[in-house]
Amino acid sequence: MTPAAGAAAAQPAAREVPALDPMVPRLFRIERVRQEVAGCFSWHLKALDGAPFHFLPGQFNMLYAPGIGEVAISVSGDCRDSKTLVHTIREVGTVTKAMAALRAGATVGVRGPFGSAWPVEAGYGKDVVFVTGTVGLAPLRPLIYEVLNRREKYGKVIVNYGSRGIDDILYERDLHVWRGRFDLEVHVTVHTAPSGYRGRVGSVAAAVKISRFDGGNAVAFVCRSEALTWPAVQALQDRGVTTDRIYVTLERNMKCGIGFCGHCQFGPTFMCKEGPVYRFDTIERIFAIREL
Amino acid sequence: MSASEMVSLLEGQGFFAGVPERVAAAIGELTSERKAGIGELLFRQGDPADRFFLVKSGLVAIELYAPGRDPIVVEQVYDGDVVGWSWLVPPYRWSFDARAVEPSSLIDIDAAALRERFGVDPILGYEVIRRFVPVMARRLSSARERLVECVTDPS
Repeated sequence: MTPAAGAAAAQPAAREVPALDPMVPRLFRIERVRQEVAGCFSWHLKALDGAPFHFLPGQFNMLYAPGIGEVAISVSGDCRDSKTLVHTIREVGTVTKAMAALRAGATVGVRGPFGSAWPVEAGYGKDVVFVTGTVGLAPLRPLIYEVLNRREKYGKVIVNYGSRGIDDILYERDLHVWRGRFDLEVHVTVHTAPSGYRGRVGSVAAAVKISRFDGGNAVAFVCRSEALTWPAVQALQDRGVTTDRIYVTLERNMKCGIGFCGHCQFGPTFMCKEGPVYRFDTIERIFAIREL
Repeated sequence: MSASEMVSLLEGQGFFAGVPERVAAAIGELTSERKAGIGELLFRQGDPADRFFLVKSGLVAIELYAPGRDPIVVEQVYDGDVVGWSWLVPPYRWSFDARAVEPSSLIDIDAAALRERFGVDPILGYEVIRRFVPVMARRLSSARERLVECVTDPS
């Protein structure tokens, strides 16, 4: 392998537009189903055609349960592993509940990857702050993996994660591993806990306030429900992180994934194409418009 | 500990930083130090709210008693923060339990006596209340944020 080819293999280039017809699903087999927390599971998928699947952290796929329907789900695995596609899915509607009933060996359809990605290089030379909660850790996990793969390029790296209770902590094993690293600060906070609990109880925004980073030289990546994106941004701004260094991921009713159908329109943008990852200052004005 | 040492102790706490000397002296007269071991209750929901505490070191949990189940931790108080403000609000009874989760070193202030003095020394009352209001606002805001999280974020 030439050095150039080796470098390319180390940092896989994702296809921003699928090479195949983006409306035709590729078939994948469910290799493994992992129950994460109540009502939330992960699929480990292998392509039936054996071809690799490349994506960038933050992108999503349209997952198809045959005969039921399609849903947009962020990729939550490692972007350097092009042989295994990982999705973490929460049971909320007809399609995802049908997906929860599928077992290893079942075949599903995948269209994608779609949408914008987290800008991994925006944090070079800066402190990196992740702010997320509950299942919001899933779209951020590929980015956290990638930041750790390139760890020497960043200053401090801090993960702020919140969940309802101690039984709802997603990817607890990852969080334990990350917490054990000397080059990573992890704050896990819960809304309520049993008496005697020594971990942190409170909001994620409160965890941001006590995190040790240089707000004047930090970049932040936020994945929260939209109602909580604003408190997270405010907490970061209070720490000196300006909105041109805050990236958020948003959620709308994605359908086609390629900006044709308009279901996911967000002001002048289509979230499936220009989003779901936005630099906050580029949407700050329209973020406050309730009608959008 | 002498009164002057107690005043310096109070002034060294973030909560009372910048408090006028006269006010610090007045509070210092009502102040004592206290240690709390793991699991020790500082106060119990429903009891008269006649004290408050500054946490010098350690960790104190604010718990909600729920009949038929274990107490639920709803808030935690760390170094430099204050425990208890029900003594400011009639009927002056604790709304929650407070329990030391780690060995804690506390400053214990006689809130009932302090409250009595507010009537004759409005400056004292103002200086104390202006420090408590941001704490109350912060905790209310935190509770609201978590309520929104419970409604909008999945479990």
